[in-house]
Order: sequence, then structure tokens, then C-alpha cells
Amino acid sequence: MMDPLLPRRVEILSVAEEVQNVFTLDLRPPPDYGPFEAGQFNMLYVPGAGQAAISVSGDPRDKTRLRHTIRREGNVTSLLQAKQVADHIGLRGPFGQGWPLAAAEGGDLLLLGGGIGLAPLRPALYQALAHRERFHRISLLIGARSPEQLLYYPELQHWADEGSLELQVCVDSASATWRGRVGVITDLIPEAEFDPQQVTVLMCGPEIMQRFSVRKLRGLGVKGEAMYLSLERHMQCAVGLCGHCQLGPQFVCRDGPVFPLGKIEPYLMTGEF
Amino acid sequence: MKTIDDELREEGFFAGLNGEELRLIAACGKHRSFKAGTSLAREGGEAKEFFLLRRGHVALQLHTGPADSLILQTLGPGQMVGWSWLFKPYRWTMEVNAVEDTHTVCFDGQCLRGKCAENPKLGYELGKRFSQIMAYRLEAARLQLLNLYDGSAPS
Ligand SMILES: Cc1cc2nc3c(=O)[nH]c(=O)nc-3n(C[C@H](O)[C@H](O)[C@H](O)COP(=O)(O)OP(=O)(O)OC[C@H]3O[C@@H](n4cnc5c(N)ncnc54)[C@H](O)[C@@H]3O)c2cc1C
Repeated sequence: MMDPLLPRRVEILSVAEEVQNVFTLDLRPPPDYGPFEAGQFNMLYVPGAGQAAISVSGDPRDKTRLRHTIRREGNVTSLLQAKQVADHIGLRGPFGQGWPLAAAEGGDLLLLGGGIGLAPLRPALYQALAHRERFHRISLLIGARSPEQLLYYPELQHWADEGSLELQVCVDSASATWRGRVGVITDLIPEAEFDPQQVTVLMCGPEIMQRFSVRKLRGLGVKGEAMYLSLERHMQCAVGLCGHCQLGPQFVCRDGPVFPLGKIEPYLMTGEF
Repeated sequence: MKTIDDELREEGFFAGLNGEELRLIAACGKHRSFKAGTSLAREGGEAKEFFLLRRGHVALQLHTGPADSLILQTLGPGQMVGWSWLFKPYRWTMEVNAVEDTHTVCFDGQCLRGKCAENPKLGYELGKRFSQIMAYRLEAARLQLLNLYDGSAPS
């Protein structure tokens, strides 16, 4: 078991551009790195610059690499993007509560991912598809700014083509050659295949998107207990000590980032300190 | 074959209207189909009609340059296309193109405006329903403008 406060030095195995400003880093897992759960995150360090919380975006069964998909945001993420194969960075983790996939077994699974929010959802998809028979229908709804910004699209389309899941995509705007949907992701929800009484909803993306999605799902009869949201807050220690990511009585790093809606709903509109 | 009256009864937009009101509306409608890639309306063109989509999707587009246009919204089965027929100068503000083969009920706007003038309750009911669509699409347009997904909006 790793000391959760002590960064490990890890080697970069690959750096790949996904879409504009978004890249995927594969890291060699430290020998004492525990198995991660879909939805958990690591703290990635650039020595001398700082750290960033980044979800694991790869397959939980793959022990050879730890995959992270990162959007260039500011200081640390820009430095991470400039890294090359065989460079080393620091890593702590895995941290936090993951997606409650076991609770979803036997029913429908509905995943909503907006932008980079698809990254923490992908491990849940790997896991659910590895045990496809345990779920009834699996639907993935994704929102992106434009078709060019769609993350993991060939892989997701492949899963849809082989019939493993229903995939629906909606972008904010597109050029005239786009044949898919344009609008808001919530428009896709009433068309998705799920039973409101038997569905577990996993969502990750901008909080505004999540709030509107909750409203739409409630309107269709999905209960609050069936909805799980992954939240982002500035964080430092990642183990519930420093208080940077406090949300009401909870810490996003320790009690989240995946929360049942009921635990966080009153605080969704609350700013950070 | 279903009559237009029957089809209107299947759509949420018309829920709550009485039989007489539905008959008045249906009398202004006819079936029209569009092949994928063809146009239902041209930006700036006279907005004589509006459409209830029964099958297929359409794209609402704006020209951004001589040869370029941007899709700002797509609409599908059960949704209404066009409200410019309601207001002067009765001109389409966007181009509407069929993304797939599309079946519609196409309503004659002038015919329906006439019915509404004679029957203010019908006018009120339709006005309410179109206002709701406009409010919803305004909300959606605001969210789309926020650039939520590339992180430039506050989260
Ligand atoms: C649990 C968790 C999981 C995450 N998973 C991923 C992931 O898989 N991929 C990914 O690209 N990003 C992820 N993030 C977000 C990522 O941590 C931030 O983008 C990163 O810390 C930015 O660091 P920076 O030094 O590059 O930017 P900074 O220079 O620190 O900041 C640049 C801008 O981003 C804002 N910002 C920084 N951190 C956050 C944050 N946590 N929430 C909201 N705004 C922030 C700042 O206010 C500033 O406006 C996750 C965050 C959390 C809390």
C-alpha cells in the first residue's frame, strides 16, 4: 500500500493527442500501486511546478499502464502536455470513491459524459462491457463543443456498432457536413433507452450540464437515489485533510468525486472558498 | 391511413386542445416529405408555413460565409419547426435542411393565422405552446453559447 501523501516517481510510457488541447498520458504503475476503481483519480505532480487531480481513464484490468486523459487548463496540465516518453513525473493515488457499478447490476445503465467528463466514465464502460451480461441496456450520451472535440469517438462508435451499447452524441454547433445532433445533451435523455424505475445514471461533465440533466431525469421519473455525479473541486491533499475541496460536510477528494445525488444536491450551487 | 387530425392527437404539442380546435388546425395542414439534403426553408425566404416533424431529423443552419454554414440545432420527430409565420415580416431567420429523409405535416401559416383571428382561444392556445418552445430553445441556445465543454465557462 502506497503512503498516500508520498508521491512516487513514475515513467511516462506514451503521450498521445486525443483532440485539440486534450492528450492522454500512459504511466508505468508504481509496484505498490493498488488496483483502482472506475471513477477514482490520481494526483499527478510536475516537480517544481505543482500537482493536478486527474482521473484514471483507462481499463481497470490493465495492470501494465495507468492511463490519464488530460485537458490543458493551466500551469500543471500544460507542463504535463509538454512531457515526453521516458520522462518522469510524480504520482499519488488512487483516491476517492468510484462509480457504484455493482449497485447498477441487473438494471439499465445510463452514462452522461460532457467534454473531458468522459475520461472518468470510460473505466466504468470498460468494466461494464467486460461483464455485459450483468446489465440490461447500456446507453452512453455524450456532449461536446463540436464534432472535432469528441473524445474517444472511434472506440465508442465501435462499441455501438457491435451492439454493446447505445451511443448518442450531441454537439453545441457543427459545420454543415455533420450528420449527428446539435443542441443540448439533455435533449438526448428522453430518447435514450432505459426504464426510469430500473436505471442507474452515472454522469460527469460541467456542473451546469449535470444540474440540467438531473432536472430532466427527474421529470422522466428517475429517482434521485439512482443518480451519481462526479464533481470537481480544487484539491491539494486528496485524503480529506486540507479542506480545499470541502462541499458541505464532505470532502470531494475523500467522499467523492463520485457522489449519490442526495448527498450533494444542496451544495451543487455553492461556490468554493 | 391516418388523417392529419389523428396524427396531431399523437403529439404532445397538441395535448389539451379540444376536437374542434384540432380540426381547425388539421384543416390548414398537409403531408410533405423531404429527401435527405433537401431544404425545408431558406434563410430570408417568406415564412408561409411551419412543420411538425413526424419522421427524420432536420438541421437549422446559418450561413457564416459565402460557402460555409453552421448547424445551430437539430430537431427530430414530434418537434415543431418554424415560428416566423407567426410574426411580421414573416421571413425565415435560418435555413432548414433535412438531415435524413423527413416526413412532416406542413401547416399553412396564413390559413392558421386567419383561424386564430376568428377564434382567439385557439390563438391563445397556440401562442402558449409556441412561447414554451421559444423559451426552451432560448435556454438551450444560452447553454450552447456558454462553451461549457471546453472549460471556458465557470464550472
Ligand atoms: C477528482 C478530479 C478529477 C479530475 N480529473 C480530470 C481528468 O481526468 N482530466 C482533466 O483534464 N482534468 C481533470 N480534473 C481537473 C484538473 O484537476 C484541473 O484541470 C487541473 O488541476 C488544472 O491544473 P493546472 O495547474 O493545469 O491549472 P491551474 O493553473 O491551476 O488553473 C487553470 C484554471 O483552471 C481552474 N481550475 C484548476 N483546477 C480546477 C478544478 N479542480 N476544478 C475547476 N477548475 C479548476 C483554475 O481556477 C484556473 O481558472 C479533475 C479534477 C478533480 C478534482
